[in-house]
Amino acid sequence: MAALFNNENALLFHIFCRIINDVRHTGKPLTVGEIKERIRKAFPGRDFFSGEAESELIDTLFPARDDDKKRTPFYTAQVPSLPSAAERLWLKTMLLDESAAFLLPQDLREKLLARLADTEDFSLSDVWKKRQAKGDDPTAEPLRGRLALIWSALRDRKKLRYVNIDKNGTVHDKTLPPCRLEYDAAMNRYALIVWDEAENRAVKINIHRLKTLEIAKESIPPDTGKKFMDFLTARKREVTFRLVDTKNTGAFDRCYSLFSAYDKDACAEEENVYTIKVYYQDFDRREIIARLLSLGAAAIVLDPPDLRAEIIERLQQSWELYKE
Amino acid sequence: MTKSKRPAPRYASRYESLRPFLRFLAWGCWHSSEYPKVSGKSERTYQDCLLRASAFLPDKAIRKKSQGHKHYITLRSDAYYGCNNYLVNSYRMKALPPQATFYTVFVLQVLGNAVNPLSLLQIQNHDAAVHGVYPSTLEEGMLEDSPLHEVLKSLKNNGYVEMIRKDGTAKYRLADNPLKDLTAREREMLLAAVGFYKNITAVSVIGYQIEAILQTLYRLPAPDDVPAQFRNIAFDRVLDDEILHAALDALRLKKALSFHYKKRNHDKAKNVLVFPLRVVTDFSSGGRQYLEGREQGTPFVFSYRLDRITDIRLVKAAPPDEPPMQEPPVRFVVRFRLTDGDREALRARILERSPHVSVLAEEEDSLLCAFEDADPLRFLPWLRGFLPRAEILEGPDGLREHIREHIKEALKNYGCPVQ
Repeated sequence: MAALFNNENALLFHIFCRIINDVRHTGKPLTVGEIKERIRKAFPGRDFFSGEAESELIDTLFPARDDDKKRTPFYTAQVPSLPSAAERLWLKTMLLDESAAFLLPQDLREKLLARLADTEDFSLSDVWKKRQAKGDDPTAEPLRGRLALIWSALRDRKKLRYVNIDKNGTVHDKTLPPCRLEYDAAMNRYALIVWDEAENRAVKINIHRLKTLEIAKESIPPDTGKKFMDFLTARKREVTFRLVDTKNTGAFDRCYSLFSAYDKDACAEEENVYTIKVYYQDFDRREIIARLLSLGAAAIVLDPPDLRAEIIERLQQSWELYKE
Repeated sequence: MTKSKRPAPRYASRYESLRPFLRFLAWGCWHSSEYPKVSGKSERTYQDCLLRASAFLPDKAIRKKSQGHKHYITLRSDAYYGCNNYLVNSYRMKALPPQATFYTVFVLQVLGNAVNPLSLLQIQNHDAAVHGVYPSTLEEGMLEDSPLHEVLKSLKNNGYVEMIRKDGTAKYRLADNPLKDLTAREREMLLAAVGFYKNITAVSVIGYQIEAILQTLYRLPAPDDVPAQFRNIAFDRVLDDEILHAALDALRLKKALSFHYKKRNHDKAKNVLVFPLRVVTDFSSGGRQYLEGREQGTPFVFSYRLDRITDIRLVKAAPPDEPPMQEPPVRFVVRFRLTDGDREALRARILERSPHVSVLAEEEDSLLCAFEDADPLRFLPWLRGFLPRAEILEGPDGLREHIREHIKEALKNYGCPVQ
């Protein structure tokens, strides 16, 4: 079994290889300070590269020569970077996965597959079961072709021209910049998010409802991404609820699993009683309510009042069904 | 020999200590005093892990707040998250021993520039090895046999280097690199594809590793986030990738798995030997992941939560001759009301929930469905989420009462008691 993690795919190893290759490419030696600065910039965290052991690593890979403050690698040749056996297997699995075929043009898929001819064929579908709605089949047309077009437009930063009929029967014929391709793993559904420049808001389009779709000549305006992020921020809401699990029924576990994809914080009120705040976008309110209800009596919504009132109303309506 | 082999203290010497800690932080905002209660580990472990995590967690990933004398720390998440999952770096913060790193870099450089395969002796006699100025951190001014052999063995086992025998001598060459000589356009397309696929597949960490290889190989800046968003895919799912990778490898190689497992956080872990059947990701309720398999000595198939598995390894063991026994399915009937909202979407949500659902009757405002499943209790949270649109009409003892009691208790908690 090839190891998933080894020294050769450690972040620090990659960074050292990049520095060695840069020195070779530019022909310019570096001071220890410059090497440390390169490493510091490459790490997302703080105060990472400051210990004695790390300095020893720099001294080993970039040995000091005489009194020269500038360092060069022990051997100034290109350090090749190549995938491990596990990484080759993953890459080939991706290339053979028809549900991901829309991500790459066929000729590039074939080129890479030919290079991976000696790597075993492995299909996740035989061994990985996904509990999710039946949803979309991205291997079948017309979805496959539409996803390929959307992905291509997003990659090349081009607008999309489309005609779709919404659930009220209204026909929309528009040319708009796409923001993102959305995949919902629970529903197994793909959706297109576009930025409606006239209405200054993001619109989610069910790809099944598209009647026509083509890539337009116009480019996506550079500020579209920022506008979309501002839109998400403006629609941000929060719900605070108390989670009580005095009987140790596993409600904490379920709650955190259920809201694991959401931004949240929590603090303990007392033993087995926590106050949890979950942040969400207002257009996900229905989903948030369903999740809170699914926790049963363990979750008690404290705020906002309108959401609390809706939960109580739904519980009271439910009691009418279950009281007998 | 190196003068020092100790790793820097900020590196995790054992990932198993960091993994539950990161999940604990990802689940919510907690104070260190609560960590022993949920993990069985000490507050000291919390502080150690926090120090290690500070090396790879960007400031913007951490939310801090104070309540009285307690300081709470949590990891930020995003229900519409893109592709930059900083938890991936928790895996990639390996300590690099100076001597092994020196040998590895040199071997890769020499083999990468060699026209023909090279023997160990030829690597030792390479010009750069003979005439190079050795670092003072290595005591010997030459490439020694033993560490060179170890590095070649490791590179070969991980698939970076191939060994061939020629005239009775072992010779080494770099493995073919499928990522080399790609055009700028091809690289860009491949990076975007990997950037998307790593989020929707199993063992997403490897996707991040492939991005790093492309970045190093072509001297590229860090890749941009791909223009995609993923819903109902938990940020902390990657913390189980090492376990998931081992489980998938066992299934691929038809081997058994030995691991430590605890059913509850406070239970003592027991060692089990399991013949795996599949891995399961439950995207419909938060993305929890399981290994389904048959434990040695039992005829039944069990589900093991991946987040509770530790110390996993592949083992050779003869599988049992008899086929595994499955729990018989239980039938339950639910009436769904489709009076408001998007009827079509609601209907699809219900019928797509399970492969074993059949429609018994359908009217304009309702749908009567029969479900069959070995574990009907797992449907309860989902059914509660539909309230008041879902009513259990028929099922095993206690199923309807279970929901009834939850409604009653919830209304009492809200100050609206019912009799």
